[in-house]
Amino acid sequence: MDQLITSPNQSGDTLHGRFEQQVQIRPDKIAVSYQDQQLTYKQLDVLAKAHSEELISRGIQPGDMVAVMLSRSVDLIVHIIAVLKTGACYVPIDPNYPADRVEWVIETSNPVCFISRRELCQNVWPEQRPSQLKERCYFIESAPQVNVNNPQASTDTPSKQKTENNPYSDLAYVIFTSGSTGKPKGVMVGHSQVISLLDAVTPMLANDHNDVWTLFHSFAFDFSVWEIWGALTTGARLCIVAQESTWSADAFLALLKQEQVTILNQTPSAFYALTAAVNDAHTKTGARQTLSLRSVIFGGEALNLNKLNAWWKHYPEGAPRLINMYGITETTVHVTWLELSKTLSNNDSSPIGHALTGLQVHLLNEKLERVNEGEVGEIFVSGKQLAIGYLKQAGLSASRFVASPFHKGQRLYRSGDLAMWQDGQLFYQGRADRQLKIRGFRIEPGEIESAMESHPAVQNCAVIPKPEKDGSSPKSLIAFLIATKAPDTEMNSKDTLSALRNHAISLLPAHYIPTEYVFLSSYPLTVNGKLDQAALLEVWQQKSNAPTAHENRMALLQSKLAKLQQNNAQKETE
Amino acid sequence: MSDSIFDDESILFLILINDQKQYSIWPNILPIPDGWLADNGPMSRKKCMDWLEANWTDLRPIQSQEEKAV
Repeated sequence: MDQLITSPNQSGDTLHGRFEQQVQIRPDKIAVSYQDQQLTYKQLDVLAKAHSEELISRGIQPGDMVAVMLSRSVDLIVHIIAVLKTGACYVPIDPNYPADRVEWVIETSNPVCFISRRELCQNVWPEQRPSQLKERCYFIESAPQVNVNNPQASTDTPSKQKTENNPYSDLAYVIFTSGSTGKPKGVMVGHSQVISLLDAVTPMLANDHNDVWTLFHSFAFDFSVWEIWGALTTGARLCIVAQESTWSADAFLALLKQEQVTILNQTPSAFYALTAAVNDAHTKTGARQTLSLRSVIFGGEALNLNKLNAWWKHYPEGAPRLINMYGITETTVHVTWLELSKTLSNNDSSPIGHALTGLQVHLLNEKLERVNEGEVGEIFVSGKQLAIGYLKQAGLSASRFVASPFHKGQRLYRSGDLAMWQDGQLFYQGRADRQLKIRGFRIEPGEIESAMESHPAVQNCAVIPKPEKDGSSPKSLIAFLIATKAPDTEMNSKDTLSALRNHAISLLPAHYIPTEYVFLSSYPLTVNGKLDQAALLEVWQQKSNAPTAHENRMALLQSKLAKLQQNNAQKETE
Repeated sequence: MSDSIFDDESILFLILINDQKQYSIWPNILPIPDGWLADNGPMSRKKCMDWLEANWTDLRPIQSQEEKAV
């Protein structure tokens, strides 16, 4: 860190400024790699600078919004940095999103420039691009070519953020998130909020320029903000994971070994699949899978600690470190930190630790009073990482970012998530708006999932309320299961299913017992790596509508699931 | 979220403002937090939303607006 302070430029308050400091300190170190492509810090800076100049020549100004729709590639990182160097902010659009979502993001953000490739646009709009975009497209394949090693094109003086009074000139990005209801909303996050996050986490993670990070997540999901800037502001290498490898835990495990990844960020769903791949590889080869991992960080959904025991069978506690971080896009990726240990793992709920430096977590009741230890309250967050608000949604902003009764003149973000304090530790208790009620009983799906997973034949379980045909509120539950060993076709026999039901009956109260049990070979995930509940329900509906013989049903299910897994990137249920 | 007082359509809200010119809706039945002033209301939640959409056009805190103007 002392290198940052003695660095000649004082641009440590922006993300690209922090990156440029690394360019000066270690120009020849690899900054980013994707398959057989790689760029050093210097090369990445030269390319980004050239493209930023091209953007400026097209009239891009500080405070503008620039949409970026590119697939996973080194170019993606070049253009994100190029946009920031102009003083504009980036609006990421995953090219796997359906056209209506892409159009919603474009309509709402009204970007002055749309950086993409013709081919990607043709995939989204086979007929015609929206007329709004016509004059604004910047197709990178047509942009002037830059020789990355040409010293004349290099930037000896770091770019300076301009100080014109344009709206939003301190914004770094606008990321659209789906709520449980309504259209995706654009969360506006400034450079200072991300810098605050990086400065809070780096001392605890003890990460540095020797690390190799993966860009595993879609750059339209804010987990990627942490991956990209965690690496590029510290001189580390960012290894971009090919889309296919994010869908296959076996392929991803191979990549972790080959690229000697040291810092891995994962949603729990993706990590359970990775753990299973580690287990399979161990069984097949009889050898432990040697990894370079130093730290694994969980985020994006609730973690079930019991499921980590399968990982700890293969790797010792602390090597790698396993860290759980609770966070929200509106509070800049991460809010809390907890280093996990085996002693914690005999717990069904998800411990999330304590707030990061610069943030405060308050658990409040409906009168906005603090709840007592052991009582459930809604998570309210205050501090430096609060987003500026929702793009063009003043009413929503003023009702989610509300006046704080605890800090003079400050705001609180109300998360809609529930938690409780116990022994100075926060425990996540689910979404306030997703608490299941079945026949009037309040149900905690995690309890059922843990009970099912205690059966030796079951590796993973996800419980979802069964939709009623008439649209009335759900009256029963479906358990989606992944088998420990046997293929899922064998597991779907009547005998196995009734054995499972008896197992559930022996452990759970009557209203907790799922009425249906479906074995799958793997879970469909959303583009953001979270469990795709809508796709699970489609599988179930396929099953219940299917005609006669068991075999037929299973064949249909399998093909449906395979298709869903292929298409899961196109779904967005975040 | 239906349980949250901030989403309760049956009560009246104030629109508060702080010295950063940031707005917050606020249940009229609760005491106003330190550092915030009632700028409008009490009125229905819907009216608050309409007023905010029409009047709060630059969501940046004023400090940040002034810094950029220097």
